[in-house]
This record gives sequence, structure tokens and C-alpha cells, in this order.
Amino acid sequence: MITALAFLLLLPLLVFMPLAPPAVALINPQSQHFTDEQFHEELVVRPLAGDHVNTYFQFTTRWHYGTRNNLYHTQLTPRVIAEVLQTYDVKELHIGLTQGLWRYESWGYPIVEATGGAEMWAWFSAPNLSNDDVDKQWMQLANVFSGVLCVSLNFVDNTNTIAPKHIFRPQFMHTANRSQQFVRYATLPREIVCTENLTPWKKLLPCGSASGLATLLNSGYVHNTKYHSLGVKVRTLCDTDDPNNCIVELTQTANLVYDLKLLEQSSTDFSLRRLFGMGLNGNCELASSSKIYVQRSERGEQFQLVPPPQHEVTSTRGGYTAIYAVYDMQEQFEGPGARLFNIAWVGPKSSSSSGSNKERASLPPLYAHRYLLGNGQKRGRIATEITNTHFDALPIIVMELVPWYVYAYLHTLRIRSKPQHRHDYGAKELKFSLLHYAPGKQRELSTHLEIGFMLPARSSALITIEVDYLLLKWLEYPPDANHGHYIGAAVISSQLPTGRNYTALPLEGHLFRDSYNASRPAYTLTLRTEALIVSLPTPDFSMPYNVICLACTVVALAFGPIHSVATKLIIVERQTTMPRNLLRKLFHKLTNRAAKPTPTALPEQNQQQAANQDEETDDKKQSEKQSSCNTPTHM
Amino acid sequence: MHKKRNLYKYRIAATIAFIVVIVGIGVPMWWKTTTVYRVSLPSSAIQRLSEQPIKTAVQIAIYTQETNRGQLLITELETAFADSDIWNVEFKQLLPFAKAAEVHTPAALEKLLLQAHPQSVGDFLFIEWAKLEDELLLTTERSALMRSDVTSTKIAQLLHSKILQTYRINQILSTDERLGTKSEAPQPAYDVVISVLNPKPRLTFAQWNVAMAAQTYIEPFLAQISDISNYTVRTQWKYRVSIEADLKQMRDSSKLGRHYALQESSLPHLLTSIAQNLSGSITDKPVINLVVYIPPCTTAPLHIYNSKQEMLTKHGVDAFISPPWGGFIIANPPEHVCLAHLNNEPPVEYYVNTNDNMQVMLDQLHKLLDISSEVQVAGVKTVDIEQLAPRRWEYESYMRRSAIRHIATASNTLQSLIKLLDQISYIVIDDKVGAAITNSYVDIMAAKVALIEHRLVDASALAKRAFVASERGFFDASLLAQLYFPDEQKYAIYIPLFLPVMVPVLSSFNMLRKLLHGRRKEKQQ
Repeated sequence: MITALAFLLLLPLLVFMPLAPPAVALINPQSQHFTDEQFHEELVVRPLAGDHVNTYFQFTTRWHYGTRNNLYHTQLTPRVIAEVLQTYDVKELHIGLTQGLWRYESWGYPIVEATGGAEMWAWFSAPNLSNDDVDKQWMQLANVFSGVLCVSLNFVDNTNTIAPKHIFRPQFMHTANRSQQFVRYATLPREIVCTENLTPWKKLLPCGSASGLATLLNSGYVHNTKYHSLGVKVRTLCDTDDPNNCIVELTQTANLVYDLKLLEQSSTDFSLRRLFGMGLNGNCELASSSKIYVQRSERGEQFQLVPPPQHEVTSTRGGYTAIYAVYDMQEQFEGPGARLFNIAWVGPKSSSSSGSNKERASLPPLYAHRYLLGNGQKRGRIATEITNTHFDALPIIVMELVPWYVYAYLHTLRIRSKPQHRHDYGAKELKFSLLHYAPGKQRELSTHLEIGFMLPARSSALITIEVDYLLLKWLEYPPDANHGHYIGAAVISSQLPTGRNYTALPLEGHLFRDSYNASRPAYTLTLRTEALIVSLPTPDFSMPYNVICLACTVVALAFGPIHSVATKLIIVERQTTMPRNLLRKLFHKLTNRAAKPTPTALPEQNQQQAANQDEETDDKKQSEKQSSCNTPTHM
Repeated sequence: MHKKRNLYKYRIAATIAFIVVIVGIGVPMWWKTTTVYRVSLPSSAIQRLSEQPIKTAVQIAIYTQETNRGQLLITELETAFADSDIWNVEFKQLLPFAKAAEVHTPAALEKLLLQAHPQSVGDFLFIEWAKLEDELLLTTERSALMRSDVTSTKIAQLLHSKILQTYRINQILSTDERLGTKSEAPQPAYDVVISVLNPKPRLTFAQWNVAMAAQTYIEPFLAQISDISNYTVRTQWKYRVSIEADLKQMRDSSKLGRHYALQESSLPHLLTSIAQNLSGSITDKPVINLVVYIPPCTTAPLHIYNSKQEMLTKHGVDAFISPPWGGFIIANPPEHVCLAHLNNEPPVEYYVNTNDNMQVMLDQLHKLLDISSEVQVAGVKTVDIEQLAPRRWEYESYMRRSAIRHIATASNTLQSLIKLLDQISYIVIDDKVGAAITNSYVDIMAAKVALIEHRLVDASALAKRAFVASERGFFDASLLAQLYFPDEQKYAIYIPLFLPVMVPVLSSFNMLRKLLHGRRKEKQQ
């Protein structure tokens, strides 16, 4: 079992081995002077179930830079990326900034995967690279991109980073052997993605937001979507024999899902202008290709396109056929003069009910959910449910990153399975064929768990692990502590034998058109589940200050009497000349004291003379002390 | 009675015990445990740094054909430099020798002299040469030729204005902020970023191998002067970066019939609009920006105008610098390219002129790095440079100036830090910062000694190290670790404890005093 699984996971790497020569075929005469550097912009529009529309932007810069020294001189690739490649031994980098949740059951699979919040992983490789070097470089890299993209990636450190063992496969190519490859992975589920990330992200594009498809990405419309995800992916492809022959590939993606119901429309019609607030004003003149792909199969069937597309492409991949209408923006904007380009989708009238019936039919082969069981703030159970709707067993790898403030107990790890039609899980347990567990350490390391198993056909698996919640120190709580603490999403990877709902680019490709007819023995699928939120016991944060004040007061109150008992003597004297009236008493006390000071007597006796009753032993000093002892309680 | 005495004794003992425990042990322990961590620093020595003036030793040799004239010149020059606070000039006479008469060129004479009397870094040599047009001629090496009738005042003037650059040193050392503009001390490392801006790539097909140009022109030059700072040259193309300034169309007699005027007053705004689009760097090294702007044909040719509506273009160059940010060059496209644009023809591909732009850029870099000396002295001529490297005497006076500036800046930084530490008691000085400050102080002292001992290269290296260490110490983040917990809060938290405890203890002092007083009286009676 293990060997079969390992073989499946190695497949993409083997497929990937031949290095595609840098494409020098130039489509655009304008970009002739970038013979070794190309920029492509693409937009894929896919109508989804439930009146949703998925728009996927992909901007690819591919630079055949050759030797490392050429990295000092950049043209289309941003200087930051070149500097990163020079400074760090990073070979592949993924950053995702996402708001919202991708609904696999109704929307199928996205072209690029991302989890909510910020996610980052990177591969490092260089001769003589040690684990400590990688840790250091990883943190510096996170800091760099926290500045470049205005994300809180600077919070990535060793406490929330793990080194995945099986789930991520490298997508880069390098001369060094495999033992010198290091991977680091971290997520920040709490991160909120907003305009301040979109603006610097657009600045990395050669045309910026001045022209091209990126002009459609206006923050007002992008952030109104149900799901939006910005991505940056950098990978280097070096010739295995010649280290001076390298390509760096920067892919910037923006994946949006619009809810048409929120666009204030009665019908299901929509258009680019509706979605983005404006039409397209031109292509980026630096781009070698600038294309819009519109899916015409599945949900796209019912729409009529205005203007009609220039080309239609039929792609059969893994037994499933998809039809795409292609608009070439370079052809559209060829002539002189300014104009706006718009595509409208005109839906059928009064046929929305029949559309919703179809939704049930096409569940994707694999989907997953995650939730938290148990009650109270002491212990709980993390449950991950994976469903296989395919007619064959699927190999599954699940990776869990449990933060240090949650203890996970490995002995409670169970995988129970049930057939798809049953509602409850029986006692039947699945055996796992692969297990990697790195226990967490309080305040230092996250728990890292990877499990591999075969999920039988048409069945679900429920993975549960019991956890304890830790009581944090008061300084470890974030602002708004009652919001709760996040546990990042689990990552699930599998190899699908069919291409149903599968739209990701093949590993060796970098453009959307590379996924046409890209049939492979297996399709690597990576899913992200929901992130969890746990409420750890939250203390009253003014408590330490109160404790200090209270403790000081108690000590001070106790000190006064102890001090006087230890150092003072009570002498009882009868005083006959004491008047009864209170005012006169005071007056007498004062005059008496001023009239005859008694230096030889003990200091206490001065005051004692006034006392005519045994109970009135408190002298002036002591009452003074009392009053001062009382002061702290008001503080 | 005896028992009462005993009780009395115990009470006195208890009172004293309380005082000892609270005042003698408790308070110092509290003070010690809550005090801010600070390494001991040579504070008083640092405060005294500015008392010792920075004095530099220079050796200047004078060769004359007649011994008497040489002696006379040297005595006059010595009196001229006798009361200088900055310079410790040692004049050395080179005696005439037999071979000198046979030599026919000044270069050969100089060679002979240098063989007999080798120079060290920072030295200078005056050679008398009768057949000279100007009074003085500065070579590209460490020497100058002088005519037989040159007065010592002229030599002193030349030394002050060009070789030693006394006025600039005075500017650096003066504590008065109003005296001249103070440029910053050279940093240990710089990024030199050459950005080529092509705002309309659809209309302008400008081509330029800027990487090659930088490697041929800029990198060899920077390699020559990398003793003080390290320079990394990077180039980038930026598209769609437009300048935000009002451009006025002006009629002229060229084939295009017009050009565009960029007002001098709008140049600062232009830099601001560009700077935000030049993309940041991932290191914290300061950047010197060299921008080449290619105006699109819709606004080309572009020239800079002053407020009197005069065109400021000289030799066909439109460029300006803004230290320390960098320089800006307008590279107007050739006429035929824009002519084609005017006639609605498809855009013409053309190459940006490497030589012209790189010459301007090199000149800008000279000015930005502040190496060349611009002062003109009547009767003094300077030999033009033929290679990329700056003149040797220029470069050495730059080294001397940087060393002095580094020492002055580092001393100032350390002194302000010590002043701050005196004023703000909750600044933490940990071991690392303490070591940096102490090292910096030691290096400053060593650099000063090296300057007076005529070791310019050592002094430069030491001064740079002192400067780097002082900056590191001053800007270390750990200094502010206690920023949000100032002393006031410390007292506020502990006052509820200390006030009630101290009052009885302190008042028992009073009791003891009275008691002693009583005893003394008893004895007297």
C-alpha cells in the first residue's frame, strides 16, 4: 500500500522532468525586444451553480534569465522578485491571500487552491544548506513579503511553521539532489485581506493597473465578492545540466466568485461591466498574449454571449470535455482609437428552476469539511470529514497543523468510515498506511500531523483527534481576545483518475491554454478545509494590576498593626481633668500638649495622657497609619 | 522595673530591626530589581570627545630648482598654516639634484622625484616647472606643477580650496546648523538603481541594453571608489509610470515645430510622483536613484525651463540631481521618431544613445557622491580626467573628508545618545548595544590618532567602523524595550505598598531620635 501511494505522489515529478525550452515565438511585434522575457495576461470566466460566477485572472511573467548575475537587471519581472532570488536560496514560493470559503460541493474545484487568510509555503534548495539556515531565510522571506504585499506575514515564525513531509511536491527544477530540498509552510488564518493587499499586488505587474486586464480589478468590486483570493507564485526552472540556464516564472492570480443575486439584478444576465464596474479599456501593451476564456460547457451552456466569441476551443481532459470561448484582446484593440470592450452573458428566460435541479447531480469526486466537537473551554475534538463520490478508492493524504496552544493526542487519532448513503459512522475503522507526527511544544512548535490512507469508493471518512486547550499567559492573547483563536485549515491531497471538475493547470504548463487536452494518468488535487476557531479560556485582563494593588493593600494593612504591636507599649493612665464634651476634649488635648511638652517621657505618653478609657488606646500616630493604610484601597 | 527595662529594650531592638529590614534591605532590593538594565558606558569620556579637535597631518613636498626659493616658500607656508586648528601640515623640501637638469618633461621629473621620495596616501607634491602657462597646474595624481613666480599665498589658497578643502571640513565640524548645507555621512553600502521609464510603451519603441551600459560605464567607476562605500548596481525598466507635471507646449523652428516646457518649480513634484513607482528594495541599504525618462512623442522633446521662461538645456542635456535621492535625465527620442508619430505613421523602433546618457549619469554620480571639487581658483588649471577613475588627489581628499565626517558624526551620535540616557532613565542598554557604543568610542579615538599620525587609509577604515557601530547602537530596537513602562508607572504601581509601610517606619525614626535625646539629657543630669 505504501509503495503504491508513494508512486502516485512521485508521478508529477516524473512527468515534469523535461524542461520546456523558453518559448521565443512572438505573437506581438511590439514586444520584440523582450526575447527572453514574456508576460501573459488571462481571464477565465466560469458560471457556477447557484447563480455564482467565477472569474480567474492570471498574469504570468516568464523570464529566461540565464545566470544569476542577470538578476541585477530587470525588465518585466519586478525587481523585488529578482532580489529575493539573489538573496535567498528560495526556488519556489507560494503566497495566497484569501477572504471567504470555496464551496467544493457546488462550485467544483478552483484553478488555484487557497485557504482563508494568508498562506505561504516555499521550497529552498542550495548546496550546503542546513535546516537552521532555511529557518532563518524563511523568516526573512516572510518579512520581505509582508512588506511587499502589506500582509502580516511578519508573524510567521518557528511557532507556526512546519516542514511538510509528504503533501507538497516541488514544482521547481534544480540541479541539487533531492536531499537538499527543504520546504516550509505556514498559515495565518486570522489575516483579513483587503484593498491594502490588492494595490501592492497590482504594482508587481508590468503594466500596473494602468492598462490591461488588471484595470478590471477595482477594490470596490473585488471586495464585494463572496470569495476572493490573491495569489503570488514564483518558481525557478533550471537546466539540470547547466546551472547558467534558468527561468523564473512569476504567476499572479486573482480568483473571485461573484454572487449574481448580490449584483441587484432580477435576471441571471451579467456582463463584465456589471461584475467589475467598467468595461475593458485595452490590453497591456507589454503582454505577449492577452486573452479572455469563457466556459461554454456545464453552467455556461445556457448563456448567450454578446459579442459572439472569435474562437471556440474544445478540450477533453481525463474523459471530460469542456468548451471555452476565446476572446483575444490584442485583436480587439488592434486599430487606433480608444474604446471599451464588454462581454455580456444573456441567460435563458424563466428556466432557473430546471438549472437548480441539475446541481445535485454533479458532486465533485472528493470534498471535505472540518468541524469542532466537544463543549467547554477545556477539551475538544477536531473532526475532518472527507467524502469520496468516485466509483473507485482514492489515495488520501491529510495534513494538519495544530497550533501550540492546542494539545493534540496522537493515541486518540481515529479514522472511521461509512458508505455514502449511511448517515452515521459505525465502529469500522480505516487503517492508515502512512503517518508522520511531530509533536508540538508549548510556545515553540506546532503539532504537525500527516496521515495517508486509501478511501474506499463512495464512502466518507471521519478523522478525529482529541485536543486540550491551553491556558495562555496574559500577554499571549491577541487584541480582541474574545474573538477566539484559529486553527488553520487542513490540507488534503489526492490523485484523481478523472478530470471531472478539475481545472488546475498541469505542472509543466504556465498558461491556461496549457490545460487544454492535458490528459494525464492522474490529476493531483489539493483541497483546503474550513479553518476552525476555538475559544480558549479568556481571563480578565485588568487582573494583574488589581492583584498588585490588592496585595499591596493587604500587606500595608497588616504591616501597620504588626509594627505598632512590636514597637509600642500601651500604658493606661487615669486622667481626671478630662472634659466630657467632645469639642472640649479635643481642645483640651491640643492645649495640653502645647503647654507642657514632656521630653523625658516616652513619646507615646504624650498622647496617652488624653485617654481616659481603656479602649481609647489608639494613639495619634496609629490613627494616622490607619488612614494612610486606607488610601491604597481607593487607588 | 527590670522587666520593664527589658521590654523597653526589645521594643527598641524591634524598631531598629524594622528599619534595617525595610529601609536597609527592602528598598535597595526593590530598586535593584526594578531598575532598567544598563551596561556601564564610558559616558564622561564620550562627553569629552568634542573637546579634542580632529587634527589631520598632511605632508606636502616642494621641489624647486633653487634651494633658497624653496626654503622661503616653506617658511612662508609654515607661518600660514601655523595657527590652523584642523591641519598639521608638514612641509618638506626636496633638494635639487643633478639629474633634474637633464629631464625635459614634467612627468619624467615627477617620476624621478617620486623614486627618490616615495609618497604615502594623502600626501602632495609641488614641482617647479618654469615653462608653464598657468601659475599652477593640478595633475590627476598627487602633484601639481608651479611656475617659478608663484607666491606662497597662491599655494596656500590652492591647498585650502582644492587639496585640503578647508572650508568643507569647517562646514562638517561646525556645530552651527546655519552654516551651509550639511550632507549626510557616506553609508557603508549603497544600491545604485538605474531606472529607465517608458511611460507609453505602445507609442515609444525605445530599446536600450541598459544592463550593458551600466556594466561598461557605472560599475568600473564605482569599483574605483569602493574603499568607503560598497555599491551594488541594479537596473530596471518601468513602464506606464507617468510624470505628474504641467507641460506647456512651446513653438520653435525645429522640424516638429514645437517642444514642451517643464517648469523648474515643478521638478520636486515630479520626483515625488516618480519615487513611489520605482518599487522598493528588500534590503535596508540606502538607494541612489538614477532615472532615465523617455518622454512619449506626445510630449517630446521635453526641456526644462526656469521661472524667467528661459530654456535650461545645455549641450542638449536635460537633467537634474536632487541629493541624496539621485539624478534624473530626460532622454528625448530622436526627431525622426517623433516626426513619424506626428505623421500618424506606425511607431519607429530606435536605440537610446548609451554614450550621451551614461556621460551625464557619470557626472551626476560624481556630484551625488560629492567626490569632485568644483571650486575654481584664478590662475589654477586642472588636467582633465581621461579615465573613469577620479583624480587621485580629489579622491584622497574625499577619503580624508569622509573620515573626518564619519568621526564627527559618530562622536555626535554617541554624545546625543549619552545625553538621552541622562535625560530618559528607562532606556535599556543591553550588552550588544553597550559593546557597539564602546567599540565605536575606541575606534573614534584610534581614527583620530591615525589621522594625526598620517595614516589616512587606517583612519578611513577606523572612522567608517566607528560610524557604523555608533549608528547601530543608536538605532537598536532594544533601546526602546521599556518605552511603554516609564518610571512614573513603576512608582504608581508600588506606591500603595510603600506609602503605608514607610510612614510608621519613618516615624519610628523620630521616636529613636527623641529617645537618644532623652538619654543624653539623663546623662547630663
